[in-house]
Amino acid sequence: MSPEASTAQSLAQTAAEMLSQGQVALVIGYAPTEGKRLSPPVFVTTPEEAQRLGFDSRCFGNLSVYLWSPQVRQMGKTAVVVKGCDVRAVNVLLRENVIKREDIVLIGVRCGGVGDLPAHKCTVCDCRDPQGCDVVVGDAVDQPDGAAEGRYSAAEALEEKSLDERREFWQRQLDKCIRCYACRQVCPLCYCKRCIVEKSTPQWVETSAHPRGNLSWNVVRAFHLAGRCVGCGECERVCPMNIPLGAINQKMAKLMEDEYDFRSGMSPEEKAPFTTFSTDDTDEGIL
Amino acid sequence: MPTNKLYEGVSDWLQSAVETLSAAGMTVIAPTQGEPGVVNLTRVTSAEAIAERYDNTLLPLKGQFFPITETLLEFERCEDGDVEIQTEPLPAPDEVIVLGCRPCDAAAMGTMDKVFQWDYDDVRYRARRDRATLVAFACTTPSPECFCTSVGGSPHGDEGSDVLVFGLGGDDSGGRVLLKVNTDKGRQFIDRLGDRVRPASEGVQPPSPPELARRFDTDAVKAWLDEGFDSDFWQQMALSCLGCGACSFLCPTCHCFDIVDEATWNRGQRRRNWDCCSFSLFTLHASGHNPRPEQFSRCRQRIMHKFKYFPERFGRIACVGCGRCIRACAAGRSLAEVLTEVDARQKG
Amino acid sequence: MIQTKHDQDDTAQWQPRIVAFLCNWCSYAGADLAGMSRLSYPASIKIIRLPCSGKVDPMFVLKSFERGADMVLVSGCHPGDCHYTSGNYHARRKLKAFRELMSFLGVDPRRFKFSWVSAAEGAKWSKLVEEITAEARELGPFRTFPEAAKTEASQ
Repeated sequence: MSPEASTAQSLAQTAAEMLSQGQVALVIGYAPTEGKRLSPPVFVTTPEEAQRLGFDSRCFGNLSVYLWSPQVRQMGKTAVVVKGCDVRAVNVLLRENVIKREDIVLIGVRCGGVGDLPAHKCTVCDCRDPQGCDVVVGDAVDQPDGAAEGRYSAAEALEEKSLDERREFWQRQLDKCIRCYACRQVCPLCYCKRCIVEKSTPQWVETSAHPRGNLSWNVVRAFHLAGRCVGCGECERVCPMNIPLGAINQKMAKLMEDEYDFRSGMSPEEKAPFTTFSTDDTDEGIL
Repeated sequence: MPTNKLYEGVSDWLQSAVETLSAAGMTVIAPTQGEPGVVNLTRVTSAEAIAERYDNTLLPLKGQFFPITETLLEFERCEDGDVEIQTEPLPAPDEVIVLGCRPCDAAAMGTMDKVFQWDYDDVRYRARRDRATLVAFACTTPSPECFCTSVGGSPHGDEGSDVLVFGLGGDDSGGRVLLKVNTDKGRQFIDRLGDRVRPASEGVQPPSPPELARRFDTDAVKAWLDEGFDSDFWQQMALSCLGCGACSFLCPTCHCFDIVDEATWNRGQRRRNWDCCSFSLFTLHASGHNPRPEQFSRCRQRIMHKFKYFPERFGRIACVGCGRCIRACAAGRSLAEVLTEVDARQKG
Repeated sequence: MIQTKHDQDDTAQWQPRIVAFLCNWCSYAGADLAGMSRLSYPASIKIIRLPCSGKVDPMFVLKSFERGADMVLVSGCHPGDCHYTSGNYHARRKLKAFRELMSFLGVDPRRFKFSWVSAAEGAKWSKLVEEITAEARELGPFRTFPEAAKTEASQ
């Protein structure tokens, strides 16, 4: 049996047991489908349907985004299939009290990376073995050595450029933005009931897709995720206009690691940099 | 006027078309490759810039006539406290030739035309639309997400285009081509090309379209939708929808818009922007009441609008099967699959 | 004819527009003291009084630039002196990160100033405004902040 088939079998078995024993009302997982670029999410409520579950290198989605969806919540206790990197997003949701640990069951799946050519996050992954899950399935996978190298390579490449070059680069990139908000909707941590873009008295962020509105939107999105973003890369993957949003997130994550020795989502107990302070923080640049 | 509607283009017809039309002061819009793998319609002055092989443009054709953001008027607070308002002058574009949209995008303009010239004749839309000639390039290789044949179209569909170009050498536009004239605008386009095209020889026919299986029957879909508003199918099918606007914004027929005022200092603009029924804010009332409070009701609306309400009002489906929504969906959802399921339900 | 904000920037009388967010307890009082002490400083600065520098949402800074500010200043109590104990410490973290983000996206970080001015530092305030006004004048109108109009390439 191929590793994929045996993982699929364990997933199906685990889910079927949980459902038949009434431990959970819903299992959210992936349904690998022939001919698709992406293994779409599937919402399983009966042991029979659990056969559809599986796992392969097309399981890009970070399914923790569904954990706070009102429709999902009203279905009852939910189990969700998570990769190691997705667990980090769950940890942030836990630390921010968006979800309660007792309301969810985490089915971790060992992951050797997603994408035909592994996604950037997979080449620098240091969490292939999911931590803190209730069950973990899948064969053991090799953890690449020296994963920290190049963790922020996209941001660093831009940091080396001059201010003017960066401005040109981002103006060209953000000019493409069509304001579909796919980046926001796919983000497990963008759970605000009403996003600031949707507030119109006053209108903080202009909704028009012109350079001024697009800069404003992308700044707000990045800043609200600073110290929270776990680098799952979903925003960049789903952007229909291929804006390299990951570089902006990397920039903020790098700052958090450099300044505050902090990486988001490593544990549900951590304290995010912007919820605290130190009297020793630098005064550099302050007049 | 010659009755023959088929013309053959000589080998450099495309280059010559771009040069001739540009020299005559027209704006030529054609698919060009920007970033790797991304083709979009942009202004060209040379045929070399035109992308040779592509499934379809990332953004739909509609944006050429209904821009993503468009200024309607400007206002300014004057020193004496009065507000001066100036209507933005109507767009007065050059004559535009769209050289190489896909047949589905051309067909989609039929939907747009219906809406923008319905109860209110949208002068801004029409100013652009009237001056445009659509030269579509027939599809040779539909992408896996395409489903035009299921919604009444075809990779070689005539609808909406003024001229339809068939590649005879197996590729899209280079080499030998056959140009099929569909409208008077199309005839004018052919006339402008002079000796770079000539009436097709006796017996020359367009190649047959590539195979693209029909996946569902729109009449059956409509019949099910007529009764299916309250079905629990919607809740179930919408669970994975994340509520972004990628499907609508890339859709060649989605036409909803929002009007906003944006000001800086003491002057500002009123703009019209693309909007999307998947957003929870789309139907939110000032009172706080939202008639479509859940994502499933918004998903349902999008499908109902395209396959039930629009056909009832305008006699045509508001979908051309370009597959952009499927390619763009963050959650790997597929409109074609949903409709296939609806079709199956209707047929029991 | 409705002009853009830059039309007035082209005149010889151009003056930098600096928006300053001051905390009520220290910096605003410091600016007040400068006035009461008859210390003069340039009128280019438009003061917005807030309870605390911790109240400054980066959105305020962005909005100021959008609406035509050439420079933005945030000023609060010195570390340890916050009326609310720790608002300025939070501001320090947040605004440092914000400045880095803006700089990363190509917005000139010299346009965004942050200072500590206490209620007793009227002289510091007046000197600070002199200095940053001079710098703003040197930098000129903030033309590289994105405008509402689409560039031609993106049409």
